[in-house]
Amino acid sequence: MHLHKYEKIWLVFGTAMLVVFLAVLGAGTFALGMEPPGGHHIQIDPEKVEETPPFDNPGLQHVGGNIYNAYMIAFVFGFKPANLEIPVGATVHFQVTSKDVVHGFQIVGTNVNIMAIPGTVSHYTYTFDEPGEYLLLCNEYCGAGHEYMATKIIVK
Amino acid sequence: MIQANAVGLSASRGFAGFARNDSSLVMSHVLFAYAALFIGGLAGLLQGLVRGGLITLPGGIGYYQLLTAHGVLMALIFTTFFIIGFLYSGVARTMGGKLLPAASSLGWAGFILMAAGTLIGTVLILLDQATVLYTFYAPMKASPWFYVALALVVVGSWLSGYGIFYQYRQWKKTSSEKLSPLFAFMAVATMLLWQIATLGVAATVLFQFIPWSFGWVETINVMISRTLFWYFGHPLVYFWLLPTYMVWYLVVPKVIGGKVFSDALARLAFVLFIMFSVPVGFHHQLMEPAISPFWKYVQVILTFMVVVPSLMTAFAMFATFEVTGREKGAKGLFGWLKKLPWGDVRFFGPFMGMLFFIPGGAGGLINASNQMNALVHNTLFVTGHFHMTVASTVALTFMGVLYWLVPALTNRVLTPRINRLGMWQVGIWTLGMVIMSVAMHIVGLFGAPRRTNYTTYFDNPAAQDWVPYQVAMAVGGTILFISLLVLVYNMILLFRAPKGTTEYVLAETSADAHPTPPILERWGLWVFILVVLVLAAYTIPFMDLLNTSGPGSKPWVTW
Amino acid sequence: MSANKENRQRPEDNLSGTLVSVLLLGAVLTLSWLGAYLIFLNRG
Repeated sequence: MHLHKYEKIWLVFGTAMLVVFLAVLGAGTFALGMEPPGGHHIQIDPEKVEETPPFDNPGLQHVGGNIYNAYMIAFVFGFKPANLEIPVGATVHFQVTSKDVVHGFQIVGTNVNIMAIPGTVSHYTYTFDEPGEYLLLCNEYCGAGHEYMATKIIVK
Repeated sequence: MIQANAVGLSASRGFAGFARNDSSLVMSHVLFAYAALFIGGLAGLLQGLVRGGLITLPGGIGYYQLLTAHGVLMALIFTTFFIIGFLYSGVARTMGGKLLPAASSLGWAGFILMAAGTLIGTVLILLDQATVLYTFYAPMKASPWFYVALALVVVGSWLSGYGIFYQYRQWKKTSSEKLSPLFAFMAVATMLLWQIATLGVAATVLFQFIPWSFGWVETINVMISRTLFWYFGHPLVYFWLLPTYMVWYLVVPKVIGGKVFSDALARLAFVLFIMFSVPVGFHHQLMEPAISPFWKYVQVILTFMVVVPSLMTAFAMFATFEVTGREKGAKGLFGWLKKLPWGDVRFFGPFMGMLFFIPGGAGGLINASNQMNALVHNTLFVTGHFHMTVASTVALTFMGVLYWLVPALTNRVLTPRINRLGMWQVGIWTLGMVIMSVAMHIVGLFGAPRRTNYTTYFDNPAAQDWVPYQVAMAVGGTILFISLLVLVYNMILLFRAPKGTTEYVLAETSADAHPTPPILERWGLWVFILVVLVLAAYTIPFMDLLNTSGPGSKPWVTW
Repeated sequence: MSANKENRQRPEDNLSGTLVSVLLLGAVLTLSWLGAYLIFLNRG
């Protein structure tokens, strides 16, 4: 097949650009711990979430030093616990599930933006360097009260 | 000019106009598509005004009902009907001048099933029985008849595809030409991709949603249903893009007075789309649990590979403009820009579509970028992206086609007045879309969620900062609706235009073009590679989801 | 199949405007991607 020499140049450049993007993303994911959520395959019965540890005691759990687990439940139309308080500088391992339909779990101004899916648990780790009141909202349509489904994360 | 009577399969050169049946078939699809666009557009206008905090909805209709109608009518109905109608018109035109009886019957059968499904689905949406948005994520449960309606639309579209395959096979059997006409090749590629892509949504609707919503099974596996949907949901956008590219490769060169830049490379691009549009659904599921980062990254790599045929298309477009411009005496690096027929809506519509694809494609790369998706997932940035792509690139190209297709089908003329009004219609759409989707991209980066009614989350300061952008979105949306009103007016004018001949615009390949390798038409080979890629990209993570599934979810009606 | 015909084909088109245009497109794609990536890193 015949390619004009400029088309060859363009496709080499274009492909190289894509390869560079993929390399940066791959390095971030597999070497620098910046991976997208997923892969833990934790099953949970959506009808028994509030009886199933650790979601029977939702909230912040100190692991040691500046590291915490945050167990949270998304439901129509709110998050449990509401108004979670986190010490500034804390590294938090969020573990989130839903009791009912699919919800979003987005902390505005951060990269915490994951899906809460009934039957599984989502994980994401974030370090809160900046104090303040963060808006935590549901960004996946979940029903009539979707636009009210929000709470705060208070970092102080 | 008298409409064509019986035209033999080999007589496509002396095209004397569309047969009455063929014209009706295509026109039915076109009118249904644009009716859906108008009603969907009305819903969009109301949504924009609500989300801008400018109006509250009258009793009896909810924001999320409008949103469901908007998504279904725009993303599924307008697109599918116009695409199938357009493909049938070119298939008739390039392979014999007339549809064979079996192809026509399949086309009509497809139309009837799809129309029936659309009407049932729309009624259910208006009755608030299906307020689940066009992605209908489980375990929200709509009326079972909503899923039946979706199945009717999908199965109808399969029949439409079979009509095109049939005409193509018969043409190949009886024609002495080695290469199929470029339009026919691209039409077959499009419907082949569609057939393979819809297997995912058909599987989840037929084997999961229908039994579950009728109560025959108690629970549904949510992750499997999402994965099957998005197996379909990504190639869906290529189902939209391929006919758009057909207009760019085949129609635009003729409108500007040139020829097809490279028949071989155009076919190669389409073959690459067949192979790489499907095994990439995970890039719509990057923020979900239960799918490992490894398999997400594999599908991100495949996603970036499907960017390559679009890079090829960009080159081909500029090259077409430059070659044609230089043939007309253009000098210098960009002299060819002045030689383009800016005042011809048949060019201007698709060209504005091309321009929108620059930021549209850039946004797509960002969305698909693995962990970076966290920045934009479920925010209005994504909404801005697809309004710049399907609602601009695709829609403007299809609108540009309307202005010559309708006269060609009805033996009327595109008058200078209608052409001018068409230019206005395209320009107004462009203005509205720039305002609306730029605002969406920016406010999305600030965190504003998509698919959400007007709210400030109890006067939260971050959310209050979003409102001015949402007002801009309302302004843009209103301007878009004005463009739709102009479009309706222009359609009426087209139907009342003077009788005459309008060319069915198709470019030719240059006589001394480099030959096209026949291997490009070996559909079996490309489909085989596609199947291998899909199995490679999906088998392990899919089996993983099946093996680690819990009890599943019971139905929820949360609206 | 194409190798023999190459000699009889027309001379290569002047596509310098095309090359500049697509490279500009590449620059737009690269800059916007980098911009988004920097915002992502900044929020991390």
